[in-house]
Amino acid sequence: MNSQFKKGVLELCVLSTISQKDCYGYELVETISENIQISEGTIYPLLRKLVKQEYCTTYLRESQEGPPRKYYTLTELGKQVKDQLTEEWYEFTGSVDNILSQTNRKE
Amino acid sequence: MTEKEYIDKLYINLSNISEEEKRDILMDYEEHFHVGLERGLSEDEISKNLGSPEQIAKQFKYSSLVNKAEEKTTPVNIIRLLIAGIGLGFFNLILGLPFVVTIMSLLISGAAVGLSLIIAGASVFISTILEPLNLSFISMLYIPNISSRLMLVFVGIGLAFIGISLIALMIKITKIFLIGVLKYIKTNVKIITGQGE
Repeated sequence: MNSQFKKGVLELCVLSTISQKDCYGYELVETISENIQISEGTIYPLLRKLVKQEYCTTYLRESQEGPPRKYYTLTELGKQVKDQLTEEWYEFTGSVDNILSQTNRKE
Repeated sequence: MTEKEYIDKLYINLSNISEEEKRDILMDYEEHFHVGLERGLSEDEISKNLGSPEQIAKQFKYSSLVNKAEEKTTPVNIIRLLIAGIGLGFFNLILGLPFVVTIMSLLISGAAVGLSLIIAGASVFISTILEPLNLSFISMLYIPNISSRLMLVFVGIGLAFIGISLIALMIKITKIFLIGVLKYIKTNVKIITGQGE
């Protein structure tokens, strides 16, 4: 996948994943890198940014296997941002689909 | 790379970030290694999937510089941020450097003119007031009558006032300019870069 695309949508992917259920870092990285090829380490700077912007908050939860893990959860603001980005995304991909299907028909 | 090597490399490259924040950042990566090992991956595999620690450190540094520049929008902070952005591979920002330096020089020159006007105004004002005392260092000044004395006093105050206004204007323009540059940088640099960049 083109890297320019990735840069723009990673934030939306992370917000959307957390909105399904609270996740710890590794879980998030796993979900996203299953679908999009990224350097996994770059998710953490992004998460930090999201916490600073108050889209997310974190809490610690015990795990059976070892030390407690840091879970990320969306704030009210984060939910709003996620909804807005999602809407913009569908609007955008819808327009692109339109153009592609029109031009492909002509060929 | 082993976990220890990876974490050490990340730590070394996180310069200009407070110790507290560094520890916080490293904890996230330690947790990542821990979970990865539980899933049966080797330290080497986890390091490889995470990507270069130098590159990741650059992203954290860039973020922390954005926060600093937002808290204190000073020319120095903006230039640092520009350099960090260029370091992340956003080479279109290179043009920003001479641009910011040129505009800042013009604004500083403007402020220097303002300062000269204040000094000139103050000199006129003080020498006019001290002239009747016949001090040797202002002996070249000759004021024939009271009305020209008054006029000179006003000229002095006027010059100083123009100087102060000029400096205030330059400060105002600087603030607006720097906020604009900050916005430009932020829209240009998306923090997350994909693999192989």
